[in-house]
Amino acid sequence: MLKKIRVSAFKSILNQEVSLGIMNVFIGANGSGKSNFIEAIGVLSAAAAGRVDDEALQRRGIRLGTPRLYKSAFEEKIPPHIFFEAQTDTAKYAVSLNNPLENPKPAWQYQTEELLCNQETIVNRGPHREIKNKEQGLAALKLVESDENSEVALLINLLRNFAVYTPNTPVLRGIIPDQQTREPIGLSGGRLAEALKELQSLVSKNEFIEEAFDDILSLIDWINAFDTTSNVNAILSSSIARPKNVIRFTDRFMKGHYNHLTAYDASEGALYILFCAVLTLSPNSPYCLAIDNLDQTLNPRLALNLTRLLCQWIIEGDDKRQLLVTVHNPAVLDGLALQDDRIRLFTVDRNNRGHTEINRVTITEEILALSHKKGWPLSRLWVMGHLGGVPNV
Amino acid sequence: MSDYRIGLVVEGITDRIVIESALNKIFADHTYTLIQLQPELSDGLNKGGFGSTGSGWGGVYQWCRQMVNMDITLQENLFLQKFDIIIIHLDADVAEKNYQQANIANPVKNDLPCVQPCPPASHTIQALEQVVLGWLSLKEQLPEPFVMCIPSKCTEAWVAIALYGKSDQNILVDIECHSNIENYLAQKPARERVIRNRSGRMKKITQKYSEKSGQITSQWDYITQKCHQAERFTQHIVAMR
Repeated sequence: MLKKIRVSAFKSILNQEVSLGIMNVFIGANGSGKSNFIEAIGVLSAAAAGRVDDEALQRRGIRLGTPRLYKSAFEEKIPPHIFFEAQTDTAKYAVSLNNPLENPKPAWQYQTEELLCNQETIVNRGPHREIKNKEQGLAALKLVESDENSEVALLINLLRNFAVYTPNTPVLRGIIPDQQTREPIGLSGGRLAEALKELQSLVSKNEFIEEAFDDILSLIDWINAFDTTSNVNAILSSSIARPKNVIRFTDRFMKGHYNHLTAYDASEGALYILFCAVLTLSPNSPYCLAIDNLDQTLNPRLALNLTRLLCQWIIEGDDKRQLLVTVHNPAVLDGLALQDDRIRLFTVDRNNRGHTEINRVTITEEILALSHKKGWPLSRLWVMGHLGGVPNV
Repeated sequence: MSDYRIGLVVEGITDRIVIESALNKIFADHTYTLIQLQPELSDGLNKGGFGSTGSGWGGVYQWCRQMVNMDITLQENLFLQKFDIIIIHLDADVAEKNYQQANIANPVKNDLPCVQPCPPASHTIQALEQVVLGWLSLKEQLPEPFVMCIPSKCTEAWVAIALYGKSDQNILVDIECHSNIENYLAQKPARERVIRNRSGRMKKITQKYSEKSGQITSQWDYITQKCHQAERFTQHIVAMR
C-alpha cells in the first residue's frame, strides 16, 4: 500500500505531502486541485513504468497537457522540474521530470530517479549521470532483475498499474466504446458487463463476493435481481449495437417476461454502483486506483450507503486494495467511519497564492463525542465550511 | 501548509473580495487559506427551498444563531478550532435596517435599527458590535480567534478610497458616514464601474471587484489612513498574527 505521496511543482500543487490510508476521500471546491493530486500519482505511475508520454498518461486516465500546463506557473520561483515521490513501509520511488516549455518533446525526460528499499539504494540517477536515453526510466528496467515479491517490485508494480477511473454514462450503457480499455473494466466504464460476469462467476466460490452481491442488490431498490446475458433479443432494441454480453436487471415492479432491462435502459445510478463494485471487488483490478467524481449521478442516500460499502469491501477484502476518490456530495462524508485510521478524509483548498493545500480531517474522540451529542454530522459541518474544502461562494 | 487558516463570515462575494485584498496586504509574506463559513439554509421552503445561503447580513445573523444553537460556547466549539482567525463581517449600514428587511421574524432582541448620529462613525459601530454580540449570545467581547470587520458605512467605502481617494479628495470627507457611496461608484464611467445601477437596483460586478483586488491591496495602507474602521480591522488581525 502507498503510505505517502509527495508532489512538487505539478499544476496547482507547489509542494504537498499526503499520508494515505486504505480508503482516501478528497473533498474540495471545483478547481481546488483534487484531480491534480490523483493525476500526479498517474504521472508517477507512468514514470515507474518507464516512459512518460501522452500514450502512457492516457492509459492511466490522466488529462493530457503541455509542459506549460503541467509545470506550476505561480509568481514565485518554482523548481524547473515536476517532482513526485511514493513510499510504502519499506520502499521509496522518487522522480523528477523535465520537458522544455518551448518545443516540448513527446516524452518527458528523467532528471533524477531514486529507488530505495530499506534505506538501500537500488536506483539512483542524477541529472549529470551519463545516461544516453533520458526518456527511459531506470526503475522499470531494474524490475526485470527483481523478484516479483520483493518490496521494490511490489512498489513499482503498485504504481505502474495505478489508474484514474472516470465513469461516464454512455460508456456504461454500451452506447460508445471506452477509449481506454483495461481488465477488468475500462477507465470510463467500458466492459462493465464482462467484468460483472467474471465477478459473478466467483460468487459460488467466494462468500465475501457473494455477500457483496447481496449488498449491491440492497442498494438498488427497484430491482430484485441482476445478472448478465448474451441473449438480448427480447430486451434490447434491434437498432442498438449488440455487445457480446449485457447486464440484465429484473425490475421488481413489472410482471414476469416484461421485467427485464439492460444497462441501456437502466437507471445510471445502478450502473455507477456496479462500476464501483467491480473495481473494488474484482481480483483483476489494480491494487491502487482512483475514481474521480465517485458520487456523480447518485442520490445522496445512495452515495452515503455506497461509500459505506466501498469502505467495507476494501477493508475486509482479501486483495488489500487502496482507493482514492474525489467527491462533491456531502452525504458521502456521513458514510465514512473516520475513527478508523485506515479511512481518511482530506480537504483540498487553494491558499491566497493559489497553491493547492491538502489537509487530512482528523476526528478526535472529543470531536466525535461532540458530533454525536449535538447531532452535527460531517456533511453539515462541511457545507457550513467548518472542515474547509468548500468554494468561497 | 499555509501559515494561517482563516474563517470568514461575510455578507456577500464582493465583500469577501475586498477583505481578501486587505488580508493580502496585512499578511504580506505569509500564506493563508480563507474559508467562507456559511449558515445552513434556514428559511424553510422559501424561494423553493434553495435560496443562497450566507448572503447578506441576514446570512451573518443566521450563522451567528446557528453557532449559538449548536449549544457549545464559541471557545469550546471544537469544530471551529482549526481556524487561527475567524472574521465576522457586517457593513455598518446594517445599523439602519430592521430585522423584517432580512425576513428575520423572531430576532433574539429587537435591537435594530441602532444607528447613531454620524460623525463620529464610532458610535454606530459600537452599537452594532453590541448587536452582533447579542446574536452570538455574548455579553462582553468576542473571544479569540474572532475578529469583527465592520466597514462604515459599507465595504465600498474602502473600494472608493483605493480607486478614487487620491484623485477625488472630496470623497474622503467623512467617508465613513457617507450613505451613498455605492451610488458614487455606480456613477463612474462604464469601463471602470464596479457597481451598476439598474433602475435603482445596485448590482455589484464580481469580475470588476476581482480586477481591482490588486489595487485595493496596494492601497491598503492609504485606506487605513483615511478610514478608522480599516485601521481597526488591520490592528485586530495584526494582533492575532
